[in-house]
Amino acid sequence: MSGPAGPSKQMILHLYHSALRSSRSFSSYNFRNYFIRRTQDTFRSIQAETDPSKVATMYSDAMKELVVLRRSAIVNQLYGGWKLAVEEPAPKDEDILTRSDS
Amino acid sequence: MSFLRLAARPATFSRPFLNVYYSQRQLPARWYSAASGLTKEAIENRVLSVFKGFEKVKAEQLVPSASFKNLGLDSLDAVEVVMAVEEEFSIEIPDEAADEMETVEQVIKYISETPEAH
Repeated sequence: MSGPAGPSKQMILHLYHSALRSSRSFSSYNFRNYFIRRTQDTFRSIQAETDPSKVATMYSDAMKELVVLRRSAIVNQLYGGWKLAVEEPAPKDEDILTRSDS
Repeated sequence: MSFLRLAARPATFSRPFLNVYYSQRQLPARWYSAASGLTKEAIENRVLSVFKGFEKVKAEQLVPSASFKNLGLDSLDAVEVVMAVEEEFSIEIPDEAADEMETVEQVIKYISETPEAH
């Protein structure tokens, strides 16, 4: 799949891991799920690509996107907003264990 | 000088006393740094339930000895499975360790060897 300059399978998998991890760290439900889906689609298309030079450009594009993704995830963690109704709700007061002396 | 000697004296007295105290009485203590109480079965059940969450995995083939390939997972799916396991146990699995995982059993083994997993 890879020529002398092309990315190895391992490098692509590591990039996939990092990209998925960044996508998961978005705090807004819509952004988070969109970027997870987008990352999955991007890497499926890399997997389906047979031309090594195209794989190399797709890899470097995904690499550049990872930088943007990380930065946006951090900003989104700061300004993420509230949880949506479709998300798992925050634990109720009675479910949170508290110390008996507090 | 003399006040130094005075200051040192209580320490020399208290040490043997403390030794007796610690050896004779069991102090109530929580060993926060001790290994988590995850049993092998608990880990196995939780890892298997993570695998069950994937559509591609066929439930009847899901046994600890099964490899990712036999379960119908390719390398990209394997990364996703490892991420789901990371989330389940609140740990981060480094890429080098994740690369070596090829069977369900290896995942269970890694979790049981990771004290941070809970």
